[in-house]
Amino acid sequence: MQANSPGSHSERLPFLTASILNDRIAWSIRLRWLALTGFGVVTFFVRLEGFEHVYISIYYTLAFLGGINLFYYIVYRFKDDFSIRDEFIFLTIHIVLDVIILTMLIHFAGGIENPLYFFYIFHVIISSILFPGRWPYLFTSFVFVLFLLLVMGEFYQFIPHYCIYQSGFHDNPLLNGLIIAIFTTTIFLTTYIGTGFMRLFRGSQNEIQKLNRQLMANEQERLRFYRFTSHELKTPVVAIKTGIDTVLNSFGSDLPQQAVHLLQRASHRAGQMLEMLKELLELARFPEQNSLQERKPFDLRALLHRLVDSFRETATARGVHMDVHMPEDPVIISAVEKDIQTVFNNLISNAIRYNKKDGRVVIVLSHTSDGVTVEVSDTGIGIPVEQQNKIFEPFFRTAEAKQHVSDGTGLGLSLTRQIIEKSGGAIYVDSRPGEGTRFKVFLPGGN
Amino acid sequence: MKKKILVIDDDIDLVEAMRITLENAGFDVIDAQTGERGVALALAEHPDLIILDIMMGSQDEGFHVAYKIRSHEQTRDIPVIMLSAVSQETGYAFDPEKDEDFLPVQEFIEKPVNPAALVDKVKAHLGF
Repeated sequence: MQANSPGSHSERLPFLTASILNDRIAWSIRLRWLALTGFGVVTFFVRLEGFEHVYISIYYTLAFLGGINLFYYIVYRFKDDFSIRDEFIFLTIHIVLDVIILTMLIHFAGGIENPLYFFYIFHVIISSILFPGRWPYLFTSFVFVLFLLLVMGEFYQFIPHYCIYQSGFHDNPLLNGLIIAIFTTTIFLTTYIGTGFMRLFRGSQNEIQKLNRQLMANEQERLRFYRFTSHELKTPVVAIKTGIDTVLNSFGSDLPQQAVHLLQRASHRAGQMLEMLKELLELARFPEQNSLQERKPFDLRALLHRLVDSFRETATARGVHMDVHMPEDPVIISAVEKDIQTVFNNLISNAIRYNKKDGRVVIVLSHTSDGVTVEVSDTGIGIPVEQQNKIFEPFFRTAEAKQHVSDGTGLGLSLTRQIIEKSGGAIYVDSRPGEGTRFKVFLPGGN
Repeated sequence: MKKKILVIDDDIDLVEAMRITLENAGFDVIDAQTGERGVALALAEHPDLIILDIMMGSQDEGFHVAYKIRSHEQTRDIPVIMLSAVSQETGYAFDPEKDEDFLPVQEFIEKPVNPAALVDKVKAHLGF
């Protein structure tokens, strides 16, 4: 299948791709079955009413239409490769044959006496929407010629006229002229309006695509800037921290206790800043890094067990009890294991750090119809309702969180959500201030 | 006799900090701010141990320096401790199991270096 490659058709015809056209073909085949059945049923009932007419020609024409529609369907169903050019050729053949058959049906069903010729408008509209440039006008001219030939042919008796009522419409030159004039004006105006609107539509689609490309470029630029600055900022902080640590280590015993304390605090703060810069780098690097890593199946249950074990000591030290509910069997999902580990590492670590003494952390892994969910709930400080949608923004920390745990970057949850969304999942938060927080992570797949 | 340690790092402040730490721990310290100068110094002075920064100028200059040190007969057996900014950043996540033969260094230490830990590592590699 040909993709919507920039610079080719998509520039001139945005939103028109081979697959969209292919959908239209399927749609037109369905519509044709419907028209065929409708026409057949109406004809059948008219005949039941005892109406005298040349039904056999109508049935032959319908049978022919049915035959080619079946052929279209087989081609549609069994072709495995097609380009936008092929699709245009298919559609052109379809629509041209359609109006020829419609003309025949009008002819057999009374010619100008039968307002069936309104149906040409459908084809004119479809061609105005689908075909590029001057094509719709060419097609409309073709429709005009067909209709003119039909009306003139019957008027000058080159072809027979099948009367459906004894009105003598087809013999009346004034009526013939009037109908042709109105008909012509209608189809050409329809084409004009249709193509005009489509030009506008395609123009705005182009604009949107251009803006979108620009947006992506800006985003790349922003990430480069993040990376550059966080790297450049890190180098001096490393030097600052190393300098302070060296003084403390080599000359600490000669310094007054107050000076040692102050330097220790300065070193701690420099360390905090490095952590922030590291997380910032990771956040900025994640989008491109992620595209390089392969998703592989792994056991989420085992990963969670490992993580919980690694947090046991910290939890016990803080007087937090951990509870785990997981299925008996391994839960295999396909994702980048290292990233998923980062996700639950962040969530579990938060649940412990922002908990109260004698608090609980509960981790529940369960299957859903189309994936797995992991709930990490705590009995901690909670998140004010109006801030619950902000916690996934970079650098955001609630006032309560800052008060409870002084060092923290506010980047963890931002990265967590990025990873989950890249993995095709979703994260939800549900929290009551002072009572606790529950994060619910959905990940697709799972055995 | 004092053991001699060569520090190759382009950040002079870090070199001075390490010098103080290592000299206080009883070592002699010589230093170089470029990889080229570092290799020349290693050949001329034959230090007992080399501390080498990965990121000098280019992202991975340290690795090239390490290979050069290993490729010279006279410096082949000198233990090398490598300093990295953040392991992920250079794209060289070090896995001793896999990379031992590949990377000719004894140890990786992540910056910022804790002075006491640095002395411990250096002593361990010098067989104290």
